[in-house]
Amino acid sequence: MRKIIAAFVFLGCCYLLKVSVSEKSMKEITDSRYQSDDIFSSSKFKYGDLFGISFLKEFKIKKVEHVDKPINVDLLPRNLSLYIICDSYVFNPFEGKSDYFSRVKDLHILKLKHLKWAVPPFDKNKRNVLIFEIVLRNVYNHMNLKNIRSKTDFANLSNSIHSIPTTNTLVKNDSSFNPLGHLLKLIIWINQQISQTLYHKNLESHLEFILFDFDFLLPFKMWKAELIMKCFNRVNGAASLSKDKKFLFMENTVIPTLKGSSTYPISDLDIEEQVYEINLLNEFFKSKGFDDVLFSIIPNPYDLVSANELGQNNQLKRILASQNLKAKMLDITPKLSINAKNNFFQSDTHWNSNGAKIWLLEINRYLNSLQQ
Amino acid sequence: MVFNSLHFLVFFGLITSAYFLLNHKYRWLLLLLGSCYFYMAFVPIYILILGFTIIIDYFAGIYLEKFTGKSKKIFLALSLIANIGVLAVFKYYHFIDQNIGFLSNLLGAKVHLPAFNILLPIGLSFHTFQAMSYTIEVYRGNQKTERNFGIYSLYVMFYPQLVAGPIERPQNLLHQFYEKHDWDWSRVKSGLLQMAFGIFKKVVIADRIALLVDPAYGDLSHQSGMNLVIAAFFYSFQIYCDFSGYSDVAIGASRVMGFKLMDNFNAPYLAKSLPEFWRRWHISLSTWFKDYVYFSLGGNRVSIPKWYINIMIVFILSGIWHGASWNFIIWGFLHGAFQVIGLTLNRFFPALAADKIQSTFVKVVYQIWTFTLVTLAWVFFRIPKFSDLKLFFKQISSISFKDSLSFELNTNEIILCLTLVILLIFAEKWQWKKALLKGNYFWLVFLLCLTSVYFLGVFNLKQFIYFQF
Repeated sequence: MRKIIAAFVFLGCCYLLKVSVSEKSMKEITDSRYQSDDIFSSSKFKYGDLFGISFLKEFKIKKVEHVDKPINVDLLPRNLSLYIICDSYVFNPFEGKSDYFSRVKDLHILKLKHLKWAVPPFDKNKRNVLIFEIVLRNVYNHMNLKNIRSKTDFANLSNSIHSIPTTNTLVKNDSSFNPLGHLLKLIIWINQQISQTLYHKNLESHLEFILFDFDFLLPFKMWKAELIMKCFNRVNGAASLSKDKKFLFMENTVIPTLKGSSTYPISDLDIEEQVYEINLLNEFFKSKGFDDVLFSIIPNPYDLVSANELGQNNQLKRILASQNLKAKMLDITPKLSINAKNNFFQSDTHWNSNGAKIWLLEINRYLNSLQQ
Repeated sequence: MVFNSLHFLVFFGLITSAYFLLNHKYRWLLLLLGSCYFYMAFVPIYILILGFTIIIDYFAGIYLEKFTGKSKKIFLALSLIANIGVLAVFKYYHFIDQNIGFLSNLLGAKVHLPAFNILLPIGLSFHTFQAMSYTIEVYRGNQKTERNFGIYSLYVMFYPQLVAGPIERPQNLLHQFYEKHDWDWSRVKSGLLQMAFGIFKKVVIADRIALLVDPAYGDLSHQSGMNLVIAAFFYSFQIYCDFSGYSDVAIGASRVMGFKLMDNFNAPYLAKSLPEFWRRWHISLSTWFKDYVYFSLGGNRVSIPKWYINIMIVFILSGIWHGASWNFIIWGFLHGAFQVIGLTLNRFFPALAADKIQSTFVKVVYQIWTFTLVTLAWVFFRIPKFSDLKLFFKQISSISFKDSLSFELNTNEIILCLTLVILLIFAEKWQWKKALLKGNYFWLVFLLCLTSVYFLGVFNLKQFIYFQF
């Protein structure tokens, strides 16, 4: 009997380790748990992603992301090919919904989070438009040429490729042969390969998901959250509560020590570096044959919902005000600020259908304004 | 891989179950492979450094047995130089470079060692010292040479104590790899309970106290004197619960499989004097220094000035062992100086010596005084940068009872931490742990521990403090 139990534990642990280091297996598990609705389903995103971190019962909402198709969207002929590089703000509500976009015949949505993009070739008979959407907290990590190049080189997009900008300082060309340097590179490469194969960087969160992310465990998590809140006035996990205790924010958009936070002190030099990257991206996309390129940075919810609560760094405002900015930007902050609390979920990092609709209307206005 | 992670939980389940499923003949191989996997979870390639010291010491052990006289001494020296060399390169290179730069600057020149930027391999000081204890013991004839390369590698790499001790001796550990350990439920219960205690100390006490201590030390200029005193007080318990928590998990995990590691802590804050504190704190390191350095220097069987110098040497070396920074050296110096002062006072006032005291009240006073000295020394240990010391003591010098207190912990959390710390001290005083580890009320205590860990623990995968050494 003892041996049987030991064998059972051994096989269980082997299975857990094998699954948690495999992207493919994790995708299968997460997909099946997200789609099901029984007690074994995942509660991570079902009631808002910030509820899935904090488990405060007051914030348990049924999240509905559906955005209605706008009216008057079919008035103009559909002759645009629209590429959107985006995060989950746009990906979740608009994936596969080309008919929501004015004048758009083909819609290709490329998610920033994905490691590699399969980009279909250009249709030369159409006007090819690119929209780059990103939430402010991710600008530091994702809005740069190095990151975009690592996902695709867009080589198959166009035959008339202009030269790739060489002004970036990210890649250093070192033509001299340095055996020690090569050995070091090889060691680093081997190190990375072992790390990736045996120890996935998200192994801990994968294990947590496999072992504990079940709907039937939710009551325990909520008890704990309530206890911690009542006794220690502390929100569990990486969530942060607004002063009026009616909104949850991602902690890394509130804490002044973290890059990407709305309160992180940013120097003018930092702002100019970001503007430089945006210009570089703009140049890069244009060089690849896009007829129009538009950048849309979504403000962190904290900036709008808790405006003036703590010293905000006005990052977006300062980027838009930069005299060096050459790229075309769409700023929807003024529109989102009106009744801001109605445009975001109170327990999710994303906007709700109202916020998404505001963005869509502005995008359609832009698309309509493009040359026929 | 840190003990307070799910990764470790699954790893422990896998290794332990496989250990009891496997034939005794192959168990050492399982443990060795498991230990490699455990170590490589930090930076995989650093296993090569470990491999280097293992190979050197393995062959040094063989040649130490073969040769006598001067040749034997040469092989010991080679082994020690190799081990200390690895430490010097990976741990002290930057520190040595900084100091050479500083001194050469004073002389008007700018001298620096060639640039060598590398992360410190985790737990380097621990496994290097364990490896050195093997060659020294073989040299002294207290330990037979280990011919099985795999078993010797396992002695250095045994995963529970690989990165933060206890620093084992070959006489205690090596033979255990040859012994067959059958499943013994009472021993397994006791091991599991000790592991649960360790995790409780780490995530419920140490990591919650860290929420108060880390911001205070991280932003000294905005702290009142009183804030810093309270942070220093709590740090004494943070480091204790953090480190002894690690040792508990290491000892418990080993015990589940039938291995007996040496105790590393014995209620250190109940010590009535500093020598007693060092007999109770990080026992495996203090006995290492005592056995291999202090006694080699002549211990106390020399003239009194030489004895005092020996004490100072040992404690300064202990400071250097902890980290490549002047604050660790000062920390060691302070402990040495406190001991020398204490011994001098004992010579003039023998009746006041800690071991002669009968009155309970005076004993408590001595305990509080010892704790205060230890806490003062911890300030040098915890300070983020050596240059911050001045600021720390400047803030402390303006202390007033009217200082406003502001902490990242709220009052309830502070009360919880204090209560747990007091309970811990009493638990140690009355040796509750020993009684509980016998396995009585196992399920009640075990489940209570796990429930507290779940509901009151701080889960931020914070590394153990001693991993950096």
